[in-house]
Parts: sequence; C-alpha cells; structure tokens
Amino acid sequence: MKRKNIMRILSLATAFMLAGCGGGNGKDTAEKTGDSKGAASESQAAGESEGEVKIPIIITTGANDAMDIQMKEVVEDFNREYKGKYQMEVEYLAGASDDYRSKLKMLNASNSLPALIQVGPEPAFYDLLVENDRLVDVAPYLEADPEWKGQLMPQGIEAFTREDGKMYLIPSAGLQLSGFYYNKELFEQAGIETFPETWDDFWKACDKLKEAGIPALSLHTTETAWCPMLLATAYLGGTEEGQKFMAQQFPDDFDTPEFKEAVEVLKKQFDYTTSDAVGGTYALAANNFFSGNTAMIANGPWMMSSLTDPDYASEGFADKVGYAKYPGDVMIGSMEQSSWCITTDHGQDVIDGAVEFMKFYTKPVYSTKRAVEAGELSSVVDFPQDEYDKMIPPMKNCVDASSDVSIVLPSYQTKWDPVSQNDVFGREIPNLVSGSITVDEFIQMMNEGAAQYKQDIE
Amino acid sequence: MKQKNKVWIVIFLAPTLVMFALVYLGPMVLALVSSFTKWDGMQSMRFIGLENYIKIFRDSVFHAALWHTLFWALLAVAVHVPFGVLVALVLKRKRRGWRFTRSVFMLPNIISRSALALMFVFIYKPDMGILNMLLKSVGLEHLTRNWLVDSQTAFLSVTNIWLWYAAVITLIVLAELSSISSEIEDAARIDGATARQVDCFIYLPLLRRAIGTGAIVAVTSVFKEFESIYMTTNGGPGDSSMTISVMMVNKIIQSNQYGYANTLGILLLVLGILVMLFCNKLFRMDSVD
Amino acid sequence: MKVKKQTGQRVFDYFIMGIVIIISLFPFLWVLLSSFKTNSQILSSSFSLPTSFYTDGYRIALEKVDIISRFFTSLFVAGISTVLAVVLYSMAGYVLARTDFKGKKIIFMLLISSMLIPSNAMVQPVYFVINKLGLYDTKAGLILIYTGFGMALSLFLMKNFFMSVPKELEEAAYMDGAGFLKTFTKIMLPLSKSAMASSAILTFIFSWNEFMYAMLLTSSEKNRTLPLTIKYFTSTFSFNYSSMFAALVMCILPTVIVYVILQEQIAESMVAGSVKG
Repeated sequence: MKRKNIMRILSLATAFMLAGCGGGNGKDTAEKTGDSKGAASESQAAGESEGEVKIPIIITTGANDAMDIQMKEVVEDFNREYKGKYQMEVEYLAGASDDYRSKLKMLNASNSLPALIQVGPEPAFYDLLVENDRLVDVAPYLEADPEWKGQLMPQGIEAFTREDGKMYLIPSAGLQLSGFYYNKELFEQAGIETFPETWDDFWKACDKLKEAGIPALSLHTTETAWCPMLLATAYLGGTEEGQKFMAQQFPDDFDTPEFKEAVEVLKKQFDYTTSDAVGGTYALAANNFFSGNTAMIANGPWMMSSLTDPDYASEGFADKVGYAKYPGDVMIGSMEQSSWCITTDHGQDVIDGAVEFMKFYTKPVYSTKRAVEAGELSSVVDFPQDEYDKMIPPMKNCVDASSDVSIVLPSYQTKWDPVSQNDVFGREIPNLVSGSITVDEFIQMMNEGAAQYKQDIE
Repeated sequence: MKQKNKVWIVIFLAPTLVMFALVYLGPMVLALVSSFTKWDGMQSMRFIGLENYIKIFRDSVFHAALWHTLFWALLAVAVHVPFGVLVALVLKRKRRGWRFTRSVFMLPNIISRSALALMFVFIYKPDMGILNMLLKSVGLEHLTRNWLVDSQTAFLSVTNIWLWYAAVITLIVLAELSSISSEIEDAARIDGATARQVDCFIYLPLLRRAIGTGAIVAVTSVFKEFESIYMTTNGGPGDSSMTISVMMVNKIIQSNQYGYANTLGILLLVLGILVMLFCNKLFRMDSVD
Repeated sequence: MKVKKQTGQRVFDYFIMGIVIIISLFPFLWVLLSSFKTNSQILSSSFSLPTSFYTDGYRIALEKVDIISRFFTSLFVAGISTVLAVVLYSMAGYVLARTDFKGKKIIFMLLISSMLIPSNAMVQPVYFVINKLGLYDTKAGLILIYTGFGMALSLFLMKNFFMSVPKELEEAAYMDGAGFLKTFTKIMLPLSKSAMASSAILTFIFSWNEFMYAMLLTSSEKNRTLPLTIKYFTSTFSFNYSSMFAALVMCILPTVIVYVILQEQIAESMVAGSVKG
C-alpha cells in the first residue's frame, strides 16, 4: 500500500527535476563521442592482461551519512562476490562533501577521477564533465539489461535521459526526502502538541520554545549553510511562483518577491538558535540537536543512522525524536544527490566493472536495505512491512510523511550555480544575520554571483 | 684537478636541480602556461592571452585579497619582525630563565599551522572560547563577540594567529648577536649609555642584514599562509579575510577555474620577488659593513 | 668593569619574557588540560582545571583512527625526507659555496626563489607532476614533495655555513692530496654538523606537520599521515571537544618531544650560519 503513494510523490518530484537534467546541450556531446570510444578501447587492450580489475571509488566517512555506511557494506559484499574478477578500490576520505569536492577537482585536471563519482550537488561540474566526454553514457548498458533497468527508479531514468537519448547519471531505486527532525520532549516542555503544519504555526512554535528557554533550531553557516538553506528553500514551496523558481536550473535572477521572502526566512531563523550557530559547522549544529540543546534540525533521512549511534546520541534518544514535513506540506529531495556517474578516465574493463558494480548496488536486496536504513524510499521495491514495525519512530514518520507529501522541491545544491552558492551562501550569511548587509544587498550579491558564473563558463 | 672538480660539481648539484625541476619548475611552468589560458580542468586549454590578468585586476574579490595580503606583509615587517627582534635583544641580556623563554617561544612555530589555527578556533569560540570567558570574568562583557565570524574582527583574529609568534626572527637575530663582540657594548656602557641606547644605536645598525633576512622570511611566509585561514574563516565572512592563496584554492574547488587560479599563483610569485628585492634594498643587504 | 644595574630595564626585560611565555605556552596548556576534561566540563567552564582525570577523549580518538600506524607512516615519510634533504642540500650547498663555475649565481637565485612559491596553492600543478611520475598515493610521492619543499631553507643554511668555513682548511686538505670528495666528506661534513642538524630538524618538522598534500596526494590508509587525523576529527567530531583536544595533543606531542630533545641544536645552529653569508 505504501508503494503506490510513493510512486505518486516521486512522479511529482521528477516533474521539477526534469527541467534540470534533460535540458543540457546534447549536440555538443554527440559530436565528440567518436574519439572517446577510441580512447576507451585502446586502454582496454592494455588492461586485459592483468587479472583482477581495480575500480577506484571514494567514500567519505566524515559525515556519518547512512548512505555512506550502506555503500561501504555493498562494496565489501561486491568484493567478496567478484573476487578475482573485480575489486573496488576504495579511498575512505575522512571528511565531508567539501573534501570530496576538493579531491575530485584535483584528480579531474589530470584525467584521473575515480571510476564512480557523485556530482549531484555540483550541477556545473557535471555539465563540464558531460561536455568533455568524461562520463560514460549508460543508456546502452541499460537497454542491454532489462533486469537492471527494472531495478532503477523509472522516473529517474526518464529524468536523466537527455534529448539525444544519452544518460550519464545512474539513478538508484529511490529518493530521500528531507524534512524536520524534532525533539518531542522539548516540544512538550514548551507546550506544543503536534508539529506545526503551517508557517504561522511554525513561527508561533518557535516563539513558544524561545519563551521556554529552548533554542528552537539547530543552525550553522559553514558548508553553504545547508540546514538553514533547507528551511529557506522549503518556504519557496508554499507558493506556485516559489515552486517555479526552484524548478529553474541556474537561475540568473534572484530578485523575485518569493526569493526575497525566502531570504527573510533564512535570516529570521537565526533569532531562534544557539549562540554557536553563526560560524558553526554542520557537525556542531547536529550535535546541538543530538544532545537535546535544540528542538529541531532540518535534514534528510541520511542522518537517521546517527540517532542510534552511541558516538552521537545517548541511548534511547531516537525514541524522543519525530520527523515531519516542512510547514506547508513540503519536502525536499533530488535524485541527483544519490545518483552515481561512471567516468571515462579508465579503460573499458574498468567501465564494465563499474557498470557491474552499479547493477550490484541497485539489487533489490540493497535497495530495500537503503530504504530501511537510510530512508531512500523506493518506487521499485516494496517497503518491507515487518521492518516498518521495528524501525525507530523518526524513521516511521519519515516513511509516512514521504508517502503523502504533496510538494517535493529539489535541493538548491543541484539547481543553483556554484558561484552564488559558495561565495554568497558560503560567506555572506553571517553578514546577513548580523545585519551588516541587508536582504536586498544579499539578493544583489546572488545576482552578481549568477552573472559571474555565466561569464566564467563562456 | 679543475677538470675533475667539474665532474664533482655536476654530481653534487644534479640531484638538487632534478628535485627543483620536479617540485617547483614543472608545476610553475604548468601554472604559467595555464595562466594565459581559459582552463576548466578538462583536456583543452584555450589560449586567451592576458585576459586572466586583466580580469583579475577588475575582480573585486581580488582587490580585497590583494589588500589583505599586502596588509599582512606590512604587519609582518612592522610588527612581527620588530617583536622578534625585541625579544632577541631582551634574551641577549641573559636574564634568569632566558633559555626557557627561548625554547617556549619556538613551540608555536614547530607545530603545524593547522593545529595552531585549530587551537585558536577554540580560543575564539563565542560560547566556550576562553577569550570571551576571560573578557566576561573581568567585566568586559560588551567586548565579547564571535571573533572569527564578525566581519569587524575576523581578519584581525586570523592575523593574531601568526602575528606574535616570531621565534624564527628571534633565533636569526640571536645568532647574529652572538657573533658581535661584546666589547663594543662594554665600551658604550662605560661612556654612560643605557641598555636601550646600546640596543638602538649599536646593535640595530649591526643587525641590519639579519633583520633583512628575517623580513624576507616573514613576508614570504605570510604570502603563502594558507592553513590559518582555511581552518578558520575560509576568507569570510564576505571577503573580509580573503587572501590571494585562499582565493586561489577556492577558484579551483568551487568554480573549476584552473587557469584563473594559476594566474593568481603567478601574481603571488611576482609579488614575492618584488618584496624580496625591496627588502634587499631597504636593509642594504648586499653592501658590506 | 661592572655597569650600574638598571632596575627599569630589568623590569622591562622580565615583562617581555613573561609575555612571550604566556602567549606561547597558554594555547598548549589549555588544549592539554581540556583534553582531560569531559565535554560538558569544557563547555561549562573552559577555565577550570579538570576535576577528574578523564581519558575517554584519548580512548575514543585512538579507537576511531589507527593513530599508531599513522604515526609510523609519518615517521617514515618525515624521516626519509629529512635524510634526503640533508644529503642533497649539503652537497649542493657545498658546491654553491665553495666552487666557481659559470651560472652559479643564477642557479643559486633560482633555487632560493623556490622560497617564494606558494606551495599550498600549487596543489593542482604539483599533483599533475606527481601523477605523471606515477607517484600518486605512494610514500615516495610525499617524500619527494617534502624533500623538495625543504629546499630553500636547507640550501640557504648549508651554503651559508660552508661559506663561513675558513678557506685554509680546505686548501690544506688539497695540499695533502685529498680529492674533492674526500675533502667534502672528511673535512667539511664533520664541521657542518650543526648546520646539518638544523636543516634536518626544520625539514623533519615541516614534513611531520604537512597536511594539504598528505590529504590530496594519498588515497589509501597505508599512506595516510598523522596530521590527517586532525582533519578527521574536525569534520566528524567537531562537537566532541574532549576527543578533538586529545587528537590534537597526540598529533602535536611527537613534534614537541623531538623539539625538546634537539632544541639546543636548533637554537644554536639553525642560525649559526644563516646570516653570516
């Protein structure tokens, strides 16, 4: 029964995502594919003489992300099963997404990217890679293996297939939708019974928590201010114009009434947070929530694994936590964020191995596991009902919420250009919060950033 | 004999030259070449002549970065080096505990900059940081702030991480001092000069070249200073603590502008050479005493 | 001839020394003390002494990362780099100080100019070269980089030292029929112990501490060095202050110990030759 609902929301989600991924310039790539094939078969000859084919991949361990933890398991299983033939060569990067990016950028310039990469939060980099034939078109592989195709989310395949029929992103079986984690105990203390469903109620709840001496929100400003930005972009879901705004790929005009309101929301949140939020890191914000200092944190289900990890939260903490949609019946998620790309930097044998791995990775057994452990809810595999009963309360909430949400917005990270994301969010939010720049100035900077990006890629 | 020496010269010098070629020359040539191109890190570099250089001088972020970098160079010469020299002159008098002081002074210089920067991140924390706690405990609550995130104080707070740790300068000056015979000082003191007068009018002129070396070492190292910002503010908030080397790394990681970033690197190198020549002139390091 | 004591000067000197000691020692002591406090103690009163000897920070830090094996990787990389640097640059320094050949000045200027190259910002071009040499993710790659980065300072020290050695010593050796190599190894090297020690120490400290290249030029655990541990804790456990401080202490401690043992060498010699040139 759950499955149908999920299907519905997922189709909604893809409607927005379509605009992003199908769009790219297909003609450019069509011309160039010829020589890339040649290069691939050349290195194939060199690789074949060796026994086991090594497939490089980087997995970050810094953020304790449930998806990374799952990935690690799949890799271990794969290496056991394909021993002698393929071997995933993993670099465990002790860092978070920023460090992953630095590393990719450096490897990229010498054509030595790992065989499998994730570039979801970096649409500009993805475009560059596609234009330069650095990614493998997986469409032929999918056509050749209907069983594999059936394991992937059809909406993903549809969204990632470009005008020219090529496809560079491999969707997984499902989608993770971010919402609000909230501490039920603290809510009770402040006399709030249910999680607010409208923005008015939300701010009232924040005021109540403030009166009770509880900082309502866990926020931070480093790492492009992920948590507060989630909330601000969720606000855009409230209006049709806002939804349209979020559907644009690389918007160049941020000077719209909707975005202005979102920036106001971005700013307002900081009235309800801890003293270490401005200048703080995501890890710090998360810990404030885990240790019961704050009542809410906006994040996705990938954080679930930390709730039960004794390194992060005390025992029994997970039972006190609920998970809810953003006010206005909104959740945020992009398929790009959990999709993988295969690079052309290695020989054909490595590409084949990488494809084999992706087939393995998207097997129903692992897709189900990811649904249960990391909240990657799938439209392809059934959600195991017996597992549902065993899950921690926030995960149950997550499954329920994701099943009947009416508006799904894509994550800003997959939509906006890197200059305005990094230069403006990355560094101007403390100024915005302290009032040293106004909302209008902030928006002006976003526009300048977008314009600069346009100029940079010319 | 002469002929034989030539062979040895080559043998002795070759490994260092190879090392230089691999670690410095190769990368610098690559940087120089790509600074004249539009390069997004993919295979093809597109030659665009001086466009990167022209663009940089119009880039407002670069203006901020250049100003901060030059300001640091100024502070290095005007505060860092004099402080190091002052400590050397004090230690020279070999008061009780001077060896201990000298050793301890070196400590912040021998640990990694990231570790030192990290310590300061904690010192500056708004809630648990010891700086704010100190201010509060002496009743200066109104002065407490979020040091690294407040755009008024971020840059100075980062500067503070290296500004006073001038032990290298102190050691250089101490070594030079030990080679100056103390007779001059004794003679001056007999004539009634105070210790400070001796320092100013006898030692300082003699220390000219040591101070010059120190200034070059200090300025070139602040040009390269990276970790102390990367670990703390990453150039923000806004551009308030941006320097050229941080800007350079950001250009690559955030917007794939490898050519542009390498242009910044080349400018930094040119700036370094200019400063070195300037210090050479200023401290008349080539002339004999 | 005794000079009249000047109390004012004395007070001033001790005042300066006091300041130096406070600013240098204070961060270390604070981090060391904090590493033995619980997280909540750190948060509530960062001033106070630890009420109990809390070592969980260390336990967690040790559990999370194989600090011991990283310690040995660091030791290996820094050790080899140091030996290489001393050998290479004493040879080059000697030649540059004591022989005459065409282009000597230019070569020296070129080599010394490496001091100006912003190494941290050159990561990408350096990686390009390392990758071309097939040294990505090898200890050899790190060693090459670290030895190279020590060039300017070591060369400077060695050259200046050799220049300060009286010419007569060398001439006497030649008179006795010693060749170039023998003069260098038997006469000059033994004399230059202090300069070699300081260039060794500086290279070691740099290699031991280096972070950026260690992160970007290695990918497998066996080639990871100790400073990367700090990064791990800042990104993953930036809220667990006890563990952070404990990890910091463990990364800093070896450097401090090396320094304390050899500090006289550094102080006396780092600079014995550095400016006389």
